[in-house]
Amino acid sequence: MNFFKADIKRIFTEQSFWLSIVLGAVLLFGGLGYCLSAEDFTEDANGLYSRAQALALPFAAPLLAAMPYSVMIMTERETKFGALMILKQSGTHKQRKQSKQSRHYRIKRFFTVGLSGAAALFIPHAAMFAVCAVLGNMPDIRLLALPVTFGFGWAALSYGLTFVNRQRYVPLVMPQVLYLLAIYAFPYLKLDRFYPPLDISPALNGSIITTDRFVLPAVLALAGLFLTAFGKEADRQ
Amino acid sequence: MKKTKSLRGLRFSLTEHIPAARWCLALAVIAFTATVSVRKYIDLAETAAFSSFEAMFLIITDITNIVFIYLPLYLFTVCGIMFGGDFGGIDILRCGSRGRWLAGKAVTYAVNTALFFAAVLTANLIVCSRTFEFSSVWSSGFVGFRTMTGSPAADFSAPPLPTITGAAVSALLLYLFCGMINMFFSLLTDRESTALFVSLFAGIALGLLNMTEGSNGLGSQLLRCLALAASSGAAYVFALAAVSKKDLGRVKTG
Repeated sequence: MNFFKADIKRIFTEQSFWLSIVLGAVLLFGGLGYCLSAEDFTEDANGLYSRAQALALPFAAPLLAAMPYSVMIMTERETKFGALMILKQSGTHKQRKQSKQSRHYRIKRFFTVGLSGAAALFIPHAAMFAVCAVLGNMPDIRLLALPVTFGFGWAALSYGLTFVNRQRYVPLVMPQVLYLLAIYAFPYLKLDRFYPPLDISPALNGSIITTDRFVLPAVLALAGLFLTAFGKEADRQ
Repeated sequence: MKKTKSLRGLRFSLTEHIPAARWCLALAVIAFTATVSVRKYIDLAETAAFSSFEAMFLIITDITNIVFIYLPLYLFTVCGIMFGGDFGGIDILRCGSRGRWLAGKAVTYAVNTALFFAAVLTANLIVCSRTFEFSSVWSSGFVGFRTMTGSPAADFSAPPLPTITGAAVSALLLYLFCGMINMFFSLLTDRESTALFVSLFAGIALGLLNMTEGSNGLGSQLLRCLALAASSGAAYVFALAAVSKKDLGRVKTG
């Protein structure tokens, strides 16, 4: 439990985490400003929140989720901090082998990386939610669950990619590339139900929250967990 | 002796630094994109019947495919070529000179570009020929559809095969130019990621200019090919100038 506490505290000290939040806020409040200036505001805060949120943020959301903490383990690998942490944990669980300790450490980190992605998208969304609530009626509270699941899924995939390559830019950029490729391909593959931007902005096609919105993030999180557990690059600690 | 060293250096460059994992990923994405592209044109074919060559022409002149999907994928596949073998340290000794080492790298880029393009064309041609019927002439429905969407009728004055070949060679030279830019910036920055992004943005800008300005007729294609070949040559000369001044012993790649 101490590891989680310490690691979650570390997330809030990372510049990349705050940069991600600032970029997310710029995209969201830019959209809100545009909607307020372009439309006749009719106190439909639920509609306003959805329209403003769907304007720009959905197209950069995987990058924002991956930015805060996904490649931290690569930095730790370079500075040998990861090896130090594993050694420290080996001291408390001597019966376990080093490779098991390494995997255990990686999987614990998986959850904090997922939380960092979720928090990076949730915080600006919560701020805009509050502003919309002040401006008019309360938007649907369930909409705030979407940035959390979306951020967790894409950050988890990004983290998994750190175990199958050596370049630091790949885990940051690859989720965004896959996302854009899926945006291009899904409509032609008759997978419109799982169109990725709808997972964070159901308002894009006027739909409501259904269980479909959680399928792709869950698949991504599982893929990330699989790569984390079996990726070979992790042996380079 | 010189010839032997050049050949040995070239063979080394071609065979030692094959990014196998990236090639596997590239082939998977190419196959996937080819399938999706053809599905897109199946939907369009409901308004005008296409032949397999006409569908190929649409794919090879589609900005989304050529500039936004295949170009980043191509650069991701080749951007590690310069960084194999500890950035030239031992390779240059093996080749005998920096110029020969860079020439080997340039040929490696060219071979990878040709292979990548062959894979793109083959995958799309296979899917197109299975989906659409073969015809060696432009159909009136297709020409009508294209002219209605803004293409000049002069684009279709030559038969489909030479027109598609012209468009494919133009796109191939665009990719080669991006490869040369990537080589140049790899030498300048020593960082794979920086070289990748700089060459990607240059390639997207030039690709948009190349594919939106002018017509797709054979004459225009030829002019584009000449301009792109000259630009690739210029980028190689810049890279040659960069490698002659570079202190390769102190390079820390990333």
